[in-house]
Amino acid sequence: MAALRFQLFDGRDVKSMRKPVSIAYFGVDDPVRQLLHRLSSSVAFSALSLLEAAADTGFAHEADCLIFDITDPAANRKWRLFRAGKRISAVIVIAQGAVSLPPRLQARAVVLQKPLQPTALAWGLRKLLRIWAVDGERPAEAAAGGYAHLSRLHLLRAAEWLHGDKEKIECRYASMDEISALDGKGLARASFDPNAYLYGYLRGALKAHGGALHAFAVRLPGGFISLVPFTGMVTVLMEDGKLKELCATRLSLFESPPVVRGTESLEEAGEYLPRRQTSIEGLLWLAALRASQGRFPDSLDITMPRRLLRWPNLSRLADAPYAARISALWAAREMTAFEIADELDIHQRHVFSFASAAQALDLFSEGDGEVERAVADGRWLGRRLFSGARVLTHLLRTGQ
Amino acid sequence: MSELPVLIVGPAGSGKSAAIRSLCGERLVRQQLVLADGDSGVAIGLESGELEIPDVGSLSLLAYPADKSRLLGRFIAPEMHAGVVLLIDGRDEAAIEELRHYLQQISSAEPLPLAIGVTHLDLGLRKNLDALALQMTDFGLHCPLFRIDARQRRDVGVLLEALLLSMYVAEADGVSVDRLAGFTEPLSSGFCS
Repeated sequence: MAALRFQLFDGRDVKSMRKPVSIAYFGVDDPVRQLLHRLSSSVAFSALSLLEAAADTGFAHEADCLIFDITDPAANRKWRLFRAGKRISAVIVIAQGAVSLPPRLQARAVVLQKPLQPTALAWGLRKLLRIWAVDGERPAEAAAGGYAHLSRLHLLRAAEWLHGDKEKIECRYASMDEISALDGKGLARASFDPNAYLYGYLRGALKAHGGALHAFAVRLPGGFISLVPFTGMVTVLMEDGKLKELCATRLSLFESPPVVRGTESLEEAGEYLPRRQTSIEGLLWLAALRASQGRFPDSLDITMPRRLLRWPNLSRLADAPYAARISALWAAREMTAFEIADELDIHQRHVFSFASAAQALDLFSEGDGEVERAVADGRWLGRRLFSGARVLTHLLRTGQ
Repeated sequence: MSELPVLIVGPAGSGKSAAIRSLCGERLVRQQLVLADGDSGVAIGLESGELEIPDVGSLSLLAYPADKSRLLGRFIAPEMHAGVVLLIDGRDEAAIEELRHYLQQISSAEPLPLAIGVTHLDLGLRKNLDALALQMTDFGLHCPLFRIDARQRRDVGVLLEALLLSMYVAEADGVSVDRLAGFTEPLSSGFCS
């Protein structure tokens, strides 16, 4: 029987020194013993210092955690002897293969399989002893045993890091000035007419032809967009760069795009064009985002508090700057676009672009506590809540 | 360094291990934890991976086994897990029932930030997503629901990003901080005693 005694110590403030954490073990083989000793100098436990190692069963009874190897032939006998003494609340059982736990294990327990890895042992110790933070940064409210969750700033940084790409679109919209919600002229300057862009035209075409059973296509400069109603999918036959360019161009710059019925002529014409499939949702999101260029649709009252009916499916939609952050806030509370920009400390143009794309997918509540009232009344918003693949259905029903 | 443990749950084959591998690399740590079940203990086998986030801390992802899903509600604890990612296999005909089952288990525990990923949906089975989404509404949930490929780092990253930002907003509302503060004996009732 041996015991190791660790001490959790915050070097900056002696008063915050904690009660030493002691770990006793018996029946473990040399590799495990070496592992325990190495833990004191590992990265995960750098703030724990090894104080003592002694062969003393009485000492072990004071331990915060007991480690024993159940594969040791004498394990059961040692266990019976041990549990006759003072109760211990946390036990790590080292096993191999099927686990047969000791009888009357009156403790929190973690079973780790041989061969034991340092990370597994550190994980087990942290689980049992609830040592989630070892650098003294544990928030005061979690001192009684909770883990040290990341601070709000860290959550943002972590989210940013997970996202990977830098905010690429910043440079494209960078000329837009910030405006006040009370500045009528500024609001007029920052709005645009969706019907003047491909985004508005596509919604019109879907409204007019989406009820048909057969596929139809929109002929555009440089290619086609083909749609099979009720599948929710579109086939884009043009260069990717060309589509993005078209989305950002006013329709008056080229002839009104004719709608072609059927797919036979399309197949022939589109043989030489690159093609890719996407969802209606994805296409409308991209088209609205590109048309917006930091502005908002004139059909959307940007000064009215609103809430997102659902999160946009960001894993399958084109990247929009700060889209995840804006979604998180707008899905949680009813706010105006100006409040979102203030709260997140980002440029308004990013919120306006997001609002344009979200409106294209019919993601906004009508405001005035619509979502909250629906929840409070125990009813939900039915089909409006999850437009997703139902964008087409919605267009056909409302024509908006 | 701070650590943020996130529990990944879902039925067998939904992509829990694949999601951890796509973010944390191939090497997963396997361990067991014993949870009380009546008079005896039940060993819960967990797979975990850690993702170091520079200058922030580490994200610890723990995959909870599908065959112990009935104990999930007792396993989840706010001071042990910062959030939950639920993965549902969109190909499964019983996906809706699976979602309901897991949401029932999760909602029986203390509320935690939740993000839902629907996997294997890139074969064009679109209607499932709406049907799944409607189930969320029965539970009054307003959480991210994304279609993801668990093998794609970007997809899993976007889902986790959404989860972290939900935590960020919840903490701004003062919800999480208060909730986390109050729990000092998290699993003591669940473990053998």
